[in-house]
Amino acid sequence: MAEAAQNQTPTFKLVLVGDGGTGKTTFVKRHLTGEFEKKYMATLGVEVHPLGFSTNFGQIQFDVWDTAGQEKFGGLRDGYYINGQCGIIMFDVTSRITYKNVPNWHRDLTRVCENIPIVLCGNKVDVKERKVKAKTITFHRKKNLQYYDISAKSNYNFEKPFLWLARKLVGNAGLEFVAAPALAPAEVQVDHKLLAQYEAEMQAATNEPLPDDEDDL
Amino acid sequence: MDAQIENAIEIAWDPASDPALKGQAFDFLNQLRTDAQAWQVCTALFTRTPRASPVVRLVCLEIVNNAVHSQALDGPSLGFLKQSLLDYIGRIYSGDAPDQVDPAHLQNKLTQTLTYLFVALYKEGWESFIDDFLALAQKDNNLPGVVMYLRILGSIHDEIADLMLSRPDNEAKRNNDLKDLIRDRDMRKIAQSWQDLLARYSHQNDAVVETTLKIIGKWVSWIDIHLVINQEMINLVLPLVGRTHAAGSEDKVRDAAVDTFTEIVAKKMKASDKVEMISFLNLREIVSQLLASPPLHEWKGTPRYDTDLAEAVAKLANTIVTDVVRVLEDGKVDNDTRAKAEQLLRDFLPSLLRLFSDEYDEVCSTVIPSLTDLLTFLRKVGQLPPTYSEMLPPILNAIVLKMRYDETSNWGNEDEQTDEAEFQELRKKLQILQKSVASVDENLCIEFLSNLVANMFSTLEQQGSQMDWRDLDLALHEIYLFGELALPNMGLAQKSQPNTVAAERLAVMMSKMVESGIANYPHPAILLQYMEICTRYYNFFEDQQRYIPQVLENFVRLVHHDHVRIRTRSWYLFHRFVKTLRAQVGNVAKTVIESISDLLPIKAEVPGNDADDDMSSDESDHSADAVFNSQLYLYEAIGCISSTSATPPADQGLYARSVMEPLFSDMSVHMERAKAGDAQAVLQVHHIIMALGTLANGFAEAHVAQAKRPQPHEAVSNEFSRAAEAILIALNQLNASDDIRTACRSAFSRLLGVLGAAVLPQLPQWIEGLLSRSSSKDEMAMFLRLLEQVVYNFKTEIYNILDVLLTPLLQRVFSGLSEPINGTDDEIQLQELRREYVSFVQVILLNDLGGVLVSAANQATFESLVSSIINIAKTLTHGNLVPSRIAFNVLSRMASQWGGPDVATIGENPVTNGAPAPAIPGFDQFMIEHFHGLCWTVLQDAGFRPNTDAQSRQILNEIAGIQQVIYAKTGDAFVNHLQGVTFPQLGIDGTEYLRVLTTAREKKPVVGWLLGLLKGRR
Repeated sequence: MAEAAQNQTPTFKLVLVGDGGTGKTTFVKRHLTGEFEKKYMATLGVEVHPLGFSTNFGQIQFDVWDTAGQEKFGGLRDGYYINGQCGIIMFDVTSRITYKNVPNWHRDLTRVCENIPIVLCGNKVDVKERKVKAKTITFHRKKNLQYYDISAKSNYNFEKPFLWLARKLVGNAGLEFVAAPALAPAEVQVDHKLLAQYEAEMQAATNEPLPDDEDDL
Repeated sequence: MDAQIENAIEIAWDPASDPALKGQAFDFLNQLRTDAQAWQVCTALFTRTPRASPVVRLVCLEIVNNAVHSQALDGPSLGFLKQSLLDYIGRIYSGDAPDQVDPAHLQNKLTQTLTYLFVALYKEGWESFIDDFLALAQKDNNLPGVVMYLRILGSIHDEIADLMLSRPDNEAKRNNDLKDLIRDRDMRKIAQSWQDLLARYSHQNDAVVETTLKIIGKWVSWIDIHLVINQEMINLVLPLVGRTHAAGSEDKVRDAAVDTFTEIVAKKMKASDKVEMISFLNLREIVSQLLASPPLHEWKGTPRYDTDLAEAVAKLANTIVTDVVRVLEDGKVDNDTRAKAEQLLRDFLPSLLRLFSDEYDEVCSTVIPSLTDLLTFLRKVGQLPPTYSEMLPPILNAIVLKMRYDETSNWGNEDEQTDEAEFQELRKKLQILQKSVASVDENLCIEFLSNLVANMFSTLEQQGSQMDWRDLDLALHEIYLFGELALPNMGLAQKSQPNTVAAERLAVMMSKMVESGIANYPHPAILLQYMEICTRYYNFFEDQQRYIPQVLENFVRLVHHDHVRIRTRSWYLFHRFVKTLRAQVGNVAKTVIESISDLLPIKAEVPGNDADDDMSSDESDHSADAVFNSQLYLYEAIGCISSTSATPPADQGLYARSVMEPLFSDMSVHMERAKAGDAQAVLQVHHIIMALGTLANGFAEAHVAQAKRPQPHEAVSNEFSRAAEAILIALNQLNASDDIRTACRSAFSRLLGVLGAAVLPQLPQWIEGLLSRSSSKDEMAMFLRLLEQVVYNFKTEIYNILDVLLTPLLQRVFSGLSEPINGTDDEIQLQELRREYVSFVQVILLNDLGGVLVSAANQATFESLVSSIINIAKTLTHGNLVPSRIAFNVLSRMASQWGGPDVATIGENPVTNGAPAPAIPGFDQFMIEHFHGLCWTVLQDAGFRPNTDAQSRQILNEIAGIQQVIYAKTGDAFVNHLQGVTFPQLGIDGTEYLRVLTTAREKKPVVGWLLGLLKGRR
């Protein structure tokens, strides 16, 4: 019975990419059910985490392909992206180079998966020494991606990328998560003042005109 | 070998393969990448018939790409690869095998390989690259060839011209050469091919048309604009822009065509060319026709309304206006161009505002940047000519109307939290825009908003609670923002003068608001706004005290409101209101306490393992903990209102007691269970302690405004002594709980203000209780900070207590300092403890309590104390520079205090007279040996970089200070030491240093000399 129900759960392949050390694995492991079930599919090169979410349209599942450790060398590289239905590109707000490489990840991903919904995530916003300021995060606006500040360690905004992707994939903006996923307890507390400040900066940044491309050089 | 490769890729790809097998597959593939011949096998595997699986073919191409991209292939090999792929493409993409065309991801991967070949061979070896693929696209009825050609064009642009991708520096020249070569060899052909494709496929295949438009949008940034902007091309693109599906479904081609215009407009060019181009393209007509088309006009407010198109048009309008403003900002443009640009601005403003006012906030947000640019420009113009000033009222009107809640939106509905948050974010953006308008024309804003608010209130008068809450909310929101005009920076910084007209208007609004009785309006959003506003503009009530009783009555009623968003927030606001107006509220404590006493009982709830608590971004926290934290505001409010100057001290004591009695008995009820380890009971005691402390804080705040804190009245301090005793009992009995210790520490620091000297006899008990055996470094650091406060408050009165306490305290600190550290958290805690420790010693010295460090009771620890401080001073790791600086300062103060009278006079003719006479025998030698030695150890530390690092510079400042003090106190002895020991050791000529040291009355020359020394050394 339970298995039959399982089979009917709409499942989407989600490709998780980004420079090494940006926290992709930490992020995906916050979801406890997925982490628990993953043990039965433990793999080398890519780890697939089935993350389930309850929505007002029923249960859905993301099979998150975490290409940890295989980003640049070895493995199958973009071979893992085949049949991806949605994506998350992650960078680390404490490391400028990881943001600089986002367009390259985006190109690699969209080469194999044309026209899939993609979320850009700036991780580690709990760290006080933030290097990639809100003002500089403009890539998503040029490519029509969704952007979220997240902090995998504190669970901050954990569900936001999934919610946005689920809405796009199901094609209904009214989709909501009806029950919170079981998350590992926060390892750090985010400083809410800091976050409020980031939000304000992000806000101000959206009001800014996009920088001229030539300035990016 | 190919079977092996195939097999390995399949195994590596399958998440369910056996891990051991997978490990082997990995090793094999990694080895393959280093194999010089692998690319040939992989090429064959990719082109093979029957075909391998998609993943095998993709990974094969990846391995080929790797070989080409890393320049591992020589000329003949590249030629071979080129020929293999051309054969394959000839087979599959020339129209003879439409059913064998590769899936999109493989086409893209193949395109990537071809692009790398293009980069390597276009100059020499494959000069006909473009021609070859163009030929495929030009064949009759060969859609796959067209698609391949377009993919190639897109990929070439991404590889050599996309400015967003990060690429190695050495590629820039290569890319420029390739671009020049294309311009020279093939560009006309390519541009012509776009026209052909658009003409051929406009009514046939939308995907081709859409891709072609996107390619044009990409390439236009680096090619001759006239290849794109010509009548033939425009004639092809325009009909696409104007296309409307009868069904009203979204039209990607039309959106792409609009985007192409956006890209064309955004191309960098001379101001005059830009203006010419916007006119030539007749964009004004295009934009207004699009806005008048059914999807954006007729179908407004229906589900058929096309938001994608609206966003595309918004992007175009935004780009145009941004560019036009940029032209106007350019001081060098000629008058003719300027006049044309001004005309364009007038032409486009109505469209821009139409898009800004769009019902969909994404559309509105898209044009905010250019509107911001425009307003910034207008502000810079200064005195506005009428052509500009008449733009402002419609802009302001649009901004304000956009701030109103949507007809469809509700407030405070749990299901709509996301929408609500998004709207609040939009409001913030709009607020910035409104401020920009105000900075251009403040009076316009004042008049406009005054009218708006006045109209709303008169509507309210007529319609009462029938009035739409959204209108009222907008008016209140504007009142809330109006303070920005009336009291810039809320009077904190005196940078901008308050605008008296605005301040008067605000006062009128406030009177109207309070008199209007909206505190009784049924919608909760209005009630909350009302309280927010009263709290924000408390200044108003200082002048208009007659309104206070009424507002206070409203507050006391509203703190009982049952809407979840009002309830706890109102407690905070009530507290702010009472606290800021305590001097004016008079003697009303009794009534207030009676009316809110039902909200005071504390009920601690141990947080469950409810997953909901972990929900990351839940903004409205309604957990028990959040309720209690808000409850604390009520206690503080009571403290404030009970201690107003209008309340006789005896009554103050009475009120304090009436609130505390229930807490005491509640505490004793829970104490037994708490001692037995019942988590709920411990938490309850914790909460009670916090409440007592917070109440005390409310009382204490009364005196803060006065410069010299007076002793609290006995009637009050007696009551709080009882609280202190109760807390001490809890502290003693539940000492093992760090939550309890934390609560007690907080309560203790707050009680200080209401206990006055009465706290002194209890001090040893507090210290004993707060610094338990199990205290962490963190706790110790906080405790030291608290002690600093006590020392500062009581100065000389505390000498005897400190004398007894110091040695045991220092022992604990020393053991904390020497604990081994594990990881960064420990590291941070250690830095914190070091800093608090040296600050604590500094505070002792600063408050003339230095004697306690060398008293009979503490003499034995003195040496450890000094050496621990020297240790901190010379620890220059990241994060320890502040403690190091304070440590140096402490040493410098010790030198001044115990070095004896000055025996050397610093000045133009330095004089020394007599031998050093330190207050502590031998201290002179000790300073020279240890303090001075320390200075040079640090100066020689490679990590000490005062020339580049500001914090190190401060340390250097302290070092200079110590050097001077030592000289002043020891005179010739120090000079001899420098000449006999220091200089020879360092191998420097110190004559100049001695001159500076003995003649400079200030630190600066000494610092300068040392900086020079360090600079020279590196």
